Amino acid sequence: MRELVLDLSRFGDLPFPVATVAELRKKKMLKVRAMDRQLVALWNDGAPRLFADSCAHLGLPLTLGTVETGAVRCRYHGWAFSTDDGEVVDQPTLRKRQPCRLTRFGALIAGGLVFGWMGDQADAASIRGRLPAEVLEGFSLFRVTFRCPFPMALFSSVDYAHFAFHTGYRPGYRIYRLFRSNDHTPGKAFPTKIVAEDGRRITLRIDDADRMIHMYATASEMDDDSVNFFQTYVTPVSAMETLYWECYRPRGRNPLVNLAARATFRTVTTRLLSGEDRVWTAAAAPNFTAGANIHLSENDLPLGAHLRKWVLPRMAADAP
Amino acid sequence: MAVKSPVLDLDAWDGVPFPVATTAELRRAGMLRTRAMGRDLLVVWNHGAPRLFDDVCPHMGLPLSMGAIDGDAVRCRYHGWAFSTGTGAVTDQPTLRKRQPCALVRHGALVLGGLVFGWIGDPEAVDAAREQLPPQVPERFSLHRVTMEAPFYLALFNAVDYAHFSRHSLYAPIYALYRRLRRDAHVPGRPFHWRVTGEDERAVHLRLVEAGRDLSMYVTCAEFTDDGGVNRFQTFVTPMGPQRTQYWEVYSARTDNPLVRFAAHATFRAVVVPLLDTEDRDWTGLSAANFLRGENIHLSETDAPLGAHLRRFVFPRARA
Repeated sequence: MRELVLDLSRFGDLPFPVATVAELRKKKMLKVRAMDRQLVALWNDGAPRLFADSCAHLGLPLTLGTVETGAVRCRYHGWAFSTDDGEVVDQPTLRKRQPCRLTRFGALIAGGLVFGWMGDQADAASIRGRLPAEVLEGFSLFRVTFRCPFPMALFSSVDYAHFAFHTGYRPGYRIYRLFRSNDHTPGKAFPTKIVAEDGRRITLRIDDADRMIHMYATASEMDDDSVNFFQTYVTPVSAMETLYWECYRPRGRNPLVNLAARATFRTVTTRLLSGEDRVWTAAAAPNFTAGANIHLSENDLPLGAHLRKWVLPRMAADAP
Repeated sequence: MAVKSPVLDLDAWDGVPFPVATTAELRRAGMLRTRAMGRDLLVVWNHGAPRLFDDVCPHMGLPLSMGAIDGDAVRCRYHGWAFSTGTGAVTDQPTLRKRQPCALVRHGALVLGGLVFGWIGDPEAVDAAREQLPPQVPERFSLHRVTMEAPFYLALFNAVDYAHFSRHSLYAPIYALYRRLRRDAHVPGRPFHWRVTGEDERAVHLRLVEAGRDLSMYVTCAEFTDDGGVNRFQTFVTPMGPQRTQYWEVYSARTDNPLVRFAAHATFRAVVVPLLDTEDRDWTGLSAANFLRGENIHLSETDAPLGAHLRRFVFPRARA
C-alpha cells in the first residue's frame, strides 16, 4: 500500500451529510465541521443552505449569532444576511448599505438527511446522483467521530471479516442465526466479488453470507437479505477525522421484530461503534496511512474498490 | 473593502514600544519575565532605570527569570553567573579561574507615567520610542490585562470598535443610564461614522461625529475620550506572537470629584472588565482565524480606526 494522505480540497464534488432534516428544521441553524472548514447549515424554510461559518464583516462565526425571519444576524456588529442567498440585508450601524455576502456552498435534502458539498448549488442534480437513489427516512441514527480518513471509516461499516472479533459477538450471532437463511458464521473464510459497477456505486456480494454491499463515494449500504438494512454515511472533517453516521431501518413485516431490531441497534451496534470500531480505526489509521507494511486482502475488496474509484484518482499529482 | 489580511512578521517591528510592566509592580518585584515580539524577555527595575534583556543566560541559556536579583546584578540559577542590571555585562563567574567576557542581549526600556515600556533593538533609541507613544500616560489608573488570541491590530481595534458596544450582553440598561449623564443622544447600535481629523508623526486622530468621541490611534495604543464625559481609556497592546496579544486596558476618570471618580472606576471594574474577559476576548479570538484567512472580509466605514491603523502602521511592515 502507498501512503494515503487526503487533500480534501480535491473532494469538493462529493456530498456529505451535515444534519438530519428533523434537527435542522427544529434548530434552524447548526454548526458543521467538514472538509477542513467551519460551516453553518441553515434551514431556510425547508430549502437548506450551507455557508462558511464566517461573517462577511470581520469574520466572527455566524453560529454565535441568531436566526431571524429570513436572515441570520451576527452577534458581533449586528450585520444580517439572507438565509436564502447569503446577501447582506441589514447593517444597523452603517449609514449606507455596503454590499457583501456570505461564502456559499451547495446543500440538498435527500430522505431524512441534509447533505452539503463544497461547490455550486447549480450542481445539485449531479451531486444527488452520487448518493443512494433511496436515502432512508425514519431511521435510527448513531453518530460518532472517527480519527481516521473517511474511506477507512466507511469500510468499517461493511468490514464483515472483523464482525466476529467484536466483544460479545458469540451469543449475539447465535440468536441472529435463528433469523437467517444461511449458516455462515462470521470469523470463517469467505470470498467477496464485485457484481456491478456504475457511476454512482460499486455493488459487491458475499455469497456465503447472503450479503449485498453497495459502496458509494461517501456512503455504504449493507443488506443481509433479512431484517437488517444499514446505510452508513461519512462526513470528511479533516484528512484524519471523519464524522460517521450509521442509519438503521429494519425491514421486518412484524412490528415487534422491528422494535426488537431497533432496540438491538441502540444497545449492541451503537456500543460496538463507539467502543471498538472507533478505537480500532483510530489506532490503525496512522499506520494505515503511512502504508509502510500494509497488505489489503481479498476480504478488503470493498475498501480497495472504493479507493480505486473515488480516492486514488484524486491523489495523483496532476489531479484537479 | 475586501482586505488581504496581513500576517505579522514580528522581526519588522524593532523599535516599536509596547508595555512590559506597571511601574509599581516592577519596583516591587525587582524583575519580571514577559513575553513580547515572539521572545521571552526579562525586565529589571535597576533602581528606577528599567532595563530589558532577552531572558537567556549567555552561559547555557537558562532563563534568568529563574534566578534572583543580587544587589546590582541578576544571578543565574544554574551556574551562578551574574550580570549587571545596568549594562548586562557579566560581573561574576564563581566557578571560573579567569573571567570570560560576555553580556546579556539588551533591548530598550523606558518609564512613562505608571507604565514601563520596552522595545526590541537599540537600547539608546529612547526618544524614537517615546515619540511613538501618547504624550502622557497617567500615574494612577485602573488596569485590566487580558490575553487575546488575535494579531495585535485586531485586539487594539476591539477597544474602540463602537459598532459592537451595543451588541454586548446587558448593554441596554447600562446605556440607558449612561445616556442620562451624557450630552449627546447617540444610541450605540445606530448608524454613525468616523472622520479623520488629523494625522501627525505619532498617531492618526479620528472623531466619532454622532457621539462626540475623540480617538487617537498610535502604533500600539488607542486613546479614547468622550466630550464632556469622565471616561478616558488608553488601551495598549503588547504583541506576544503573530496571533497572540497582551491587551492592557488603562482607565482613568477625568474628574476632580472623588465620588464620581470612585463610581467611574467601580463601573470599569464591574462592567468593562467582565466584558473584556468574556465577549471581547472570545469574539476577537474567534474572528481572528477567519479575518486572517481574508477570503470574505469587508471593512466598513465604522471600521475606519482599524483601516487607518493598518494603513499607517501595519501594511508598511507587512510581509510581502
